[in-house]
Amino acid sequence: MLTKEHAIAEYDFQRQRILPDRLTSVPHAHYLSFAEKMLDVYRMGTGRRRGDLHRDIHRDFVDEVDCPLRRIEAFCKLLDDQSQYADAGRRAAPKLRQQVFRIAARHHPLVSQADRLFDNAVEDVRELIAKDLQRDWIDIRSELFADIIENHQLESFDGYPNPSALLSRYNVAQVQATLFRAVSMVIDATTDFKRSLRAARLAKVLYSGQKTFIPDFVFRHNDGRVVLMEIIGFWTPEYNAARLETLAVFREAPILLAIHESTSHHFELSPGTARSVTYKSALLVKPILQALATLFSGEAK
Amino acid sequence: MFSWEDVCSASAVSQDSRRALRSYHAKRAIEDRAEEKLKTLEDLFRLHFCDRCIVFAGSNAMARDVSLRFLIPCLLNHCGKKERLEILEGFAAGDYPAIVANQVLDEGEDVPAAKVAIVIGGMSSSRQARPRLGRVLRRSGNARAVLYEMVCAGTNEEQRSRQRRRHATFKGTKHRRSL
Repeated sequence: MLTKEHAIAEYDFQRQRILPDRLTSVPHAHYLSFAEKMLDVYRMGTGRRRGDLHRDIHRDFVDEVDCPLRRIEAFCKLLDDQSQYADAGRRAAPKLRQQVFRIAARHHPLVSQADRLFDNAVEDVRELIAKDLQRDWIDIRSELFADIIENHQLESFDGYPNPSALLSRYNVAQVQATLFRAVSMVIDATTDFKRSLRAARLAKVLYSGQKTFIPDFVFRHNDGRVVLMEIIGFWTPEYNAARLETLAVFREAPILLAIHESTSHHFELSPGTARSVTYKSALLVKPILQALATLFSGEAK
Repeated sequence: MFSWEDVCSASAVSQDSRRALRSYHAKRAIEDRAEEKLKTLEDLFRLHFCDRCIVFAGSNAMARDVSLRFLIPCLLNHCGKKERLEILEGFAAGDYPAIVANQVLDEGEDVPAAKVAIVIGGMSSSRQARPRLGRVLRRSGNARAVLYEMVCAGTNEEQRSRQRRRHATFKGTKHRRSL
């Protein structure tokens, strides 16, 4: 999944369109060989640092004119998404740093060459620390900052089945990233209406005539029953009124509303079976679990 | 003449402007992480071996370089709360004679006073410079505080340092240039 920092989109204000970045087979035919190279970097990259892998990916694109920086970074992200990075040394690093710095503090300043005034040569202190911690300095050095993101070591790479799979994942991911900022969605299903409906059903989108309801969260009970949750934050009264209208259409559906305190008075007359919990600064798990339990038990009756 | 925005937006399609941008960043990185700075830092640590020193680096990478060379704690954005507290308390108690930080200490962090601050990189903005200066200029007896700025001669770093000093924040401070 890409973040909005990776999103590339072109805005066509005249025709009111947003076009997410898309690699197509004709103008971007040469991207297949780029994809192949990128996959190779990761396939052969086990044990290497994340920062070095990313540098290699950037290097592949050095001579490519048609490639914004964001696109390269997006590729790195998508490759990372299919990778596992070792986390053994990561958790130990802060503790190791503390041990090393505490010992070294007694010998400050570490000078490059000892003299009569300052006799703590950096080499000697390193040796001393290695002896104290009973490990080689080279190992200590390489693990001292193992928790830094660039220093994470690639453990394994699940990869993509082939270069074109990586490219099409990129295209989909760019569309997703563009939709992050969408507040409402209208789907014009003209030719393949059936398929759109099937997709909507899978995503637990409720639809009735012209109205659709896309929940923020879906809770699934072990026995398969489902509760949809909608979070209602700081919205305008008009928006809330529209929300109420939509909810009234789906009053039969098991919907749980999480309503911010400041807007809760708009929802006092919440219609149908929709239950609600209010929250202040953060949504807490406990009241939601309680509401879920009531909803599920109510349904069982 | 090209504006900064021109070069950035052209970098998506023009090979030349991409090369220019890359070279610019490479140049900044060389200035920022100049090895000579570590040597000068050693001299300053020798000079102030019994004073508490804070080193301000311009980047995480340089902060880690300093930390690795002198084995002093570095306060970076990735530090957890526990580690940050341990470092700051250790510094206040005198267990750590020196620490290195990048931007984390610039604003809103309660840091024990230090006698010596050494700025080895960073922006020309006064927003960053003010708290950095404030870290050393605390009313604590008659002690004199010193803020060093280390720049690579003949680079934009000189210009940035000059710009910083022109700001009202530095009013009333005495400057001395040394090589």
